[in-house]
Amino acid sequence: MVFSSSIFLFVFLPIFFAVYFLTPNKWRSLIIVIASYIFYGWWRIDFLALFFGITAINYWLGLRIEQAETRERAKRWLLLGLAIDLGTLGYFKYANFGVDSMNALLVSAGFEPLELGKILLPIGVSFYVFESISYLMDVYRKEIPATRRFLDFCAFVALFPHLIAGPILRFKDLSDQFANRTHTWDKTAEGCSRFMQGFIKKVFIADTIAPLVDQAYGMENMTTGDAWVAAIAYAIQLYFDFSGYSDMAIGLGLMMGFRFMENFNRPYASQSITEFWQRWHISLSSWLKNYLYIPLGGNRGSSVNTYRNLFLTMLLGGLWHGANWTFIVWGAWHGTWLAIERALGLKTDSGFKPLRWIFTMLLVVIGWVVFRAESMADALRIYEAMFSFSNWQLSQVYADSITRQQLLMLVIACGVLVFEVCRAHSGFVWQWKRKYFSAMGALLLLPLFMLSVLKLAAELYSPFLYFQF
Amino acid sequence: MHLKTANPLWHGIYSACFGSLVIAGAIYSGVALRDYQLQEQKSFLKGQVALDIEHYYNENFIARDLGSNLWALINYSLFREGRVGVVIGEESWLYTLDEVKDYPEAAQDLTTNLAAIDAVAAHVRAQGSDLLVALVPEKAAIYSEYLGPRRVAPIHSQLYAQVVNQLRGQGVVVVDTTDALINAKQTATTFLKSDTHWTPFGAEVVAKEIAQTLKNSLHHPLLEQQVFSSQDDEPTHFQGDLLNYIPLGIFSEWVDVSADQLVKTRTQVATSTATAADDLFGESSADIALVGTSYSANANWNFAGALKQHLGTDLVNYAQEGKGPFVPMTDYLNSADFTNAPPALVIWEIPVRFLPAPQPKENIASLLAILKGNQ
Repeated sequence: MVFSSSIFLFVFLPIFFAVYFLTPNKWRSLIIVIASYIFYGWWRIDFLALFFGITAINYWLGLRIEQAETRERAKRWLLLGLAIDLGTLGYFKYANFGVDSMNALLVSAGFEPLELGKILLPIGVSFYVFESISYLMDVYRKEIPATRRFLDFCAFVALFPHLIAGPILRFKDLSDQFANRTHTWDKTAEGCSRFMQGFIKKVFIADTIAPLVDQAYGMENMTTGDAWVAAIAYAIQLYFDFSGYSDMAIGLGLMMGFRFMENFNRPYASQSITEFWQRWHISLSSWLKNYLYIPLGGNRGSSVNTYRNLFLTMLLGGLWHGANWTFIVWGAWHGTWLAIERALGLKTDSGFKPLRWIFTMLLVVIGWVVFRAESMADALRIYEAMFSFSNWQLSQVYADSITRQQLLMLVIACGVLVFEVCRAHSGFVWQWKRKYFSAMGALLLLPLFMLSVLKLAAELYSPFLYFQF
Repeated sequence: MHLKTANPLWHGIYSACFGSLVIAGAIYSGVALRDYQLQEQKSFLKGQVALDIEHYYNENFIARDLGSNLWALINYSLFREGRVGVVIGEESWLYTLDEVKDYPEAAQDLTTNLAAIDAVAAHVRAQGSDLLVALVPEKAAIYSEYLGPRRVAPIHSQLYAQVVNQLRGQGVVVVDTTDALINAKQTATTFLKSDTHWTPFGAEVVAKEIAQTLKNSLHHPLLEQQVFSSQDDEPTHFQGDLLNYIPLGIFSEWVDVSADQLVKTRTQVATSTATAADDLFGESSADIALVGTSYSANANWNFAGALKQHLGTDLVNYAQEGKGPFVPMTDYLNSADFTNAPPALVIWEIPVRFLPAPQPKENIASLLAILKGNQ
């Protein structure tokens, strides 16, 4: 089930909240678990067993780690947990990719290829496995006690607002809220407003721009103009799609009394790739920093080791997004630039520098091309068009496919992003007009939400880009 | 970006509106899902039942039509656009996008499609029949003056002449109907404003051209065996197929969209001079076969009737709607009617707009397989 669907909005959500608010506080975790399992099982019920199994094992391992008599034993329990979690992720997400890559080598060397049936990727597995790992590591590091409340742990892992595509939450950030959270009118209203904003971003903006991207990526022959329009349109689509999803998740959390961490902070206002990762998919970058970069040694060793750790962290972060060489290359691209910026000692808090901002956005957009491409061959085809600088005009095939509505939405989305850049760099223009813009946004929110609901009803289906990860 | 406001008034408004909307939707949902029937063959465990329920719900969602209509109104009023597939011209003339857009592999597909036509012509000739191709021009070429600022892909500019020349060069008899349709515009409309197709008048103009070609060039012995007469019905309001791309529904009164008056024509036998037509199953004895697309198959345009009248002989109509020019020809060549008793003449109506477009590979493959198998 996705948030941007009529059945979620008008069937699941009202029934859930009716039951949730009619249930006494102490039973609300149970309601969350039941509702979240229904939400997850709506995709496939048979995969609920795997989901529940991972939850139960991690709960039990958390207790074992805490109760271990020595650090050595605790570490063994932790390693067992990591092996189970990563083994699950590896099997379901990477087995086919590994066998395919191995087969390519075997066949080229004249050997018979290995055979492996198609393994279905359980939806959300990357997210719930990462959340389970963070829990075990936090218990091992003694940052939190292992929970005795199995129901709360189940509710944490399954909590439907963040179950499928994040934000990637840490148990230590929510454990107190499970035990003691408030349900206020202000929080509920903020949640409604946030949900509606996310819905508009997703359905009104991202979905309108999506055909611009799909059409171009499906074309065999692109001009330089086609390739750049498609690359920029995808950067915009992905931002509004994913940040829209995160807004909806945060909004739903607020309606239930939870306050999740923010997942985006005007990422396209960044003036370096380092800053970009402080602003984009913050819950993932925090996870990678805490549970991968620091265990690898972080910046505690030599400069070379630091660069290596940055590169490896982003490489594995790229691989986390999907079993495809495109994601590995994308991760390597970002890892390389992080290392370069570290080597150059680039500071991010030295005011707005337009050229640096443009260069950063260029790097980000170039990275998104391979991230979006189906294969490396596709990505290379688009890069070739982008950097051949042969023809800046749109091809007739592409121009014919673009509607004025899509074009206007692209311009509006660019306007919103430029506005965000201005807001992110205080002292810049617009600062004094903030309250007017807030009031305008508040006035437009409801009509735009209604229009978005009607758009969704007319178009029937609106999947999220990040569900594939 | 997200809005932050501490104003309790806004909080109240947001919560109340969001809550009301969701609750209203929930109440309706109970009604919408009430009639859902579980499909036993669908798997509950693998999520097929859930997917089925969701499809059912979406199809019956109360706001679905309202959403379609409202967004059609917005797109039409603000952007002069419909759904992908229609081009909105001036004075409410609508065109199919196929007639103005570019195709990535146009040259290659055109060659493939012309080769297929040539192969059909050779096959039909080999069976002792004549083939005449009635090439239907693009509406956007006949009524280009209403296209407005819309750019037409270069492939369309000389498409008709190119196809005529190429087919004639290959020895295929082709009727060029462009001039006749352009000249006839002075008398009456030859294409409908809101539809891809011609008017019954336009269809008759083309039928006359075909008859003229047959009389002048081929001196066909089948002609003028019967006398047909046509009768016009009262004009009726007609919603063309291109309006499906602008589903204004309840808002159709709000804006000035294209509308047509259709004068349907019925053609009947008046007198007969041939014995064949006195047969109990008169139609089956006809020695002319008409194969083609919706331009021929749809009775609204009466193309088959007009052809009978101007040829002065009966024919059997094998045209099919919505399948392009190649599938009906494949079916016809594969039919017992053709294999057992090939007619003297096959008229193949082909809208030229199909030719630079990629045809489904299986369609061309099936056609070529039949041609190979029978040769």
